[in-house]
Amino acid sequence: MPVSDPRMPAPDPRMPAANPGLPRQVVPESRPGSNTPLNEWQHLHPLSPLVRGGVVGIAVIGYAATQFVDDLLRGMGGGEPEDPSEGGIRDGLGFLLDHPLATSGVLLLALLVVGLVGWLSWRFAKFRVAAGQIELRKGWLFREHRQVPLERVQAIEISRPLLAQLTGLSQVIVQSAGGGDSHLKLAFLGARRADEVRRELIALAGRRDEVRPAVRVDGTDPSGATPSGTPATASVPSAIDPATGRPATVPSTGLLDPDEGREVLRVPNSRLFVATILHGGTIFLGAVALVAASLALAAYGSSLEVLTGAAIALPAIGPLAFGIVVNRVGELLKHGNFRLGDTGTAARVQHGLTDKRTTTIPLHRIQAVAMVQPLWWRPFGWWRVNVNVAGIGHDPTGEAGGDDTTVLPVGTLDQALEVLALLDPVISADDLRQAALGEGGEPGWTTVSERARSLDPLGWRRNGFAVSAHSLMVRTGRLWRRVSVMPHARVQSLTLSQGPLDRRLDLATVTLVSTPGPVSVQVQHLEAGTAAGLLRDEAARSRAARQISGSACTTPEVPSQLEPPPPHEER
Amino acid sequence: MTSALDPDAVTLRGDELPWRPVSPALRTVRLITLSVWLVPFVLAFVVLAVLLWPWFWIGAVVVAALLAWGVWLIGRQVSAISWIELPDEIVIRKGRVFRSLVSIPYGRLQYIDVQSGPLMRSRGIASCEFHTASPESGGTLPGLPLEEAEALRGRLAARGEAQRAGL
Repeated sequence: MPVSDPRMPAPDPRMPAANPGLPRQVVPESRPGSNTPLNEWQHLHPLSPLVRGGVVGIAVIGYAATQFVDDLLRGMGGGEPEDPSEGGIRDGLGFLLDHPLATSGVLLLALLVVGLVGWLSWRFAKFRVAAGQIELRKGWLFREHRQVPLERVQAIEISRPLLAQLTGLSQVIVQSAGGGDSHLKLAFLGARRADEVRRELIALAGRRDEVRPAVRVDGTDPSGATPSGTPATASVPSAIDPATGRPATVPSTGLLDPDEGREVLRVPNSRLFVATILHGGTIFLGAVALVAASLALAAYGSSLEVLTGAAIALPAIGPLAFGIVVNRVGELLKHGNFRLGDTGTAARVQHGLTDKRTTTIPLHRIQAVAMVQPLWWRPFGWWRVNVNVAGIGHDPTGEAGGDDTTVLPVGTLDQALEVLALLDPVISADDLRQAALGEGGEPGWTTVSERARSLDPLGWRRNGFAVSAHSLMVRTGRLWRRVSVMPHARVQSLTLSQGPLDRRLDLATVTLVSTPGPVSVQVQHLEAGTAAGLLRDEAARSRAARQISGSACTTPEVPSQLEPPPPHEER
Repeated sequence: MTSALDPDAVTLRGDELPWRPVSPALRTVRLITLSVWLVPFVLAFVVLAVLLWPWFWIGAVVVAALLAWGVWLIGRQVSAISWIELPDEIVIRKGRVFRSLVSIPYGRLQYIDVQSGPLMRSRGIASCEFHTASPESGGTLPGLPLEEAEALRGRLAARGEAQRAGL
């Protein structure tokens, strides 16, 4: 054994300098939790492999330990007579049981190997923030080197799974725009260190972002080639933060401590509980239970057939019920203790009953916003608010921020409006209220054609869109209300489509494509002419919005900014 | 040349703009692919019908009808694809029964794939796929002549660079 005691909690990882024999990359070693500047290579927390190994690791180790002690005792006691009824594995292990010394040797060896692997994985995992990038290297046999340019950082999340909470560790997840697996995960760091890292990363990412307006105008890549386009415009400093529209008096650099942001709201767990239960699945289950109960009552003492029928039907919906319950409980665990904070340039979302997560979403990374009110929430007037952020959400693996796109799991309309005002101060609250509650006929709203009545008998009066200088609002659903808002500057591409039914009625559907996420912005069944006009105008508006990058959105507090309906509608 | 184009005329089926069709070779390629899939089935059914059981003729007829329908459909589909480069965006129209029109601003283009398998290459065409930050918003332009596709990619990449907007 070359390594004296490589089990993870052992003290030696804290003195890695004692093992300088590694070939490449002689780096200044750092003690975790110390204030090593981020631009030097540094290790993760020494306990991380253990926590990453997680419950399985602990269970295995625990099992091994008990076996070990058990066997040791057995060996000391001279061995009890074997129970003849025990066969199979017991027989196979008979040799080991008969030789406690060999058994403990094997177990010790296994522990050593596990420890060694853990130690190696820790030893080879290093990260740094340098040259505008955050880099993570890991792997001992299979090396992996992942880097994310800071200007591509979409959000930074701190997450504390249960086991990490027990050990006081946190993982920092850096979300970047890209496919599902484009996250960079620093698992794990000490809780304080994780906070420091997050803060520094936010500051760095923000600082690079300050350069963006100018860069956007002259049309070069932020990575800093010389401006090739129109350098004259590039020199004009932007007094307005392009995305939020608020005056850039507070630069998003380290001046503002992200932790001391203003708390916007908390969601009481009791309300969340009620809201979580009010869900299609549970209501279906309740209805089934009611029917079953009444059937059982009616059949009480009379017909055995009905009873047996119910008895057969119940197990059939068992798995379904189980799935629904698991889903609801998961939702509750995910959104419990929900808090939303405002740091001035970012929204800070904290949530989780067991797995505590903190996500920081820079406001200008938000691509689209939606307010949703399921039918069941209507008596309470509750709404949910979701956002699209490039790189977050739609992550099938789920672990890294599966649903960090919810910025308000349940809240009153006023709270929802407050959240939206935080996310996008340029949207007028009155317009939003109209979008949320309107039933048709408000000024500024272009609703779906009456010809769509046969296709959408309930919603045709309400469904429609409205345009403000800054964004496009779409409202849909009479029963299941939904409002989507997408800034013109965030439109990725536009789609106009028409199926055979639409064609017969001379209707068409317009979609404003956003980055992947829960929000989709689509106006169905518009009059074909209106739809073509919307497509054309929106293309022009988003082009203009991209070019002037925000100088159009100046006054946040106007009562209504809806433009009059586009002229082509009257045609 | 594109500066004279009026983006107002972008409609689902209008012909005011010089919409450009894709190469007719695409039709050949798709027909070949379809035949490679279906003709063996027809032959198998025919052989079975002759050797074993006459009822297999039904299968043969059904698959042959499918083949004929596919041939007709491919012709219509390919002729329905048209595209145009406007000053600020590329617009692709597709479909007859389910019509769709995708407009992708140059500034939103993240990258462009030009693909050409052996079959397509033998016919001298390639397919161009436009990727934005959203996987669902990309458009595909199948069946451009090879050099045309390369030129388009170069042109659009340059324009995308010039009009690049952040996310």
